[in-house]
Amino acid sequence: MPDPSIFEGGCLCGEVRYRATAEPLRGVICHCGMCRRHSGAPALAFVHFPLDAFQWLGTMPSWFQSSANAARGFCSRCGSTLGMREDVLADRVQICVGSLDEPSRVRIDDHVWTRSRVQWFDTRDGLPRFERSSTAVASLAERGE
Amino acid sequence: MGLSIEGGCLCGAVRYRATAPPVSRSICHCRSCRRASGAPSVAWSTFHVNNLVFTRGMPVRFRSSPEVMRTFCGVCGTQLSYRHDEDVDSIDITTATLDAPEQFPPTKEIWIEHKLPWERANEAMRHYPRTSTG
Repeated sequence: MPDPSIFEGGCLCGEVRYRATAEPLRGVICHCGMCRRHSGAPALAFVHFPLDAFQWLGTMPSWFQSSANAARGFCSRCGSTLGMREDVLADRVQICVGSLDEPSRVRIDDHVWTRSRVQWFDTRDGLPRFERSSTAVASLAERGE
Repeated sequence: MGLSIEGGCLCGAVRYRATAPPVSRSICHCRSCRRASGAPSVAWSTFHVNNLVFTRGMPVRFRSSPEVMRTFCGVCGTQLSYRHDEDVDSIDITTATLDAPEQFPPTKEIWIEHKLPWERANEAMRHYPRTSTG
């Protein structure tokens, strides 16, 4: 029986791996223009793990400073989009759901930056939607476009 | 003046231009696209390889399976393209890196077999369990 509080993942080539030993604090689908451009996908999904329950294994990701307050992680060998760090959320790391070994295990709570949503992409679920960042977590960093 | 469709990565180090519209547009739910993008699914616009040029910088190549070459920006990590060795005439570009992605809506969803359970497919599009060709 797998431990329900252990989550592992990594990039497509396997060079960067990580392990979290706590359940995610939050799951979110972001429709902002920067997440879209960086991932190459219509929307990007993240789960937030507490920093003290998270560790990178093997090679560290490369970090690209995408704005004054945020950096985006990727594997320098295969380019996989891995996560994000924001100054306003310094207690956690935001991990891209697609990099998890078992992405179907995590819960998504809401959608953010829906005012930037590309019109033809809609996941048609009943989750709360926020035009900008959610009221649950204020974001200074990525202002949508 | 001919048609020009432009795009590039998040940091701007790599830019490309297409001189003809994409020949097809899809959303892929396969595990490799999900892992590479970090996103639940990826939208692709397929161009004839002769109609697509990189105009600034060159992306880094990564062979993600024996017959597949993906590329990304080495500076910021943006996923940019996909090519399959058996389809020598085509290059797939991540639709979300086009400067005007809203102009290129996908018409089909592929690799539904790998779709995450909580991601709802768009009922208005054609759906394929795996690829749309086989």
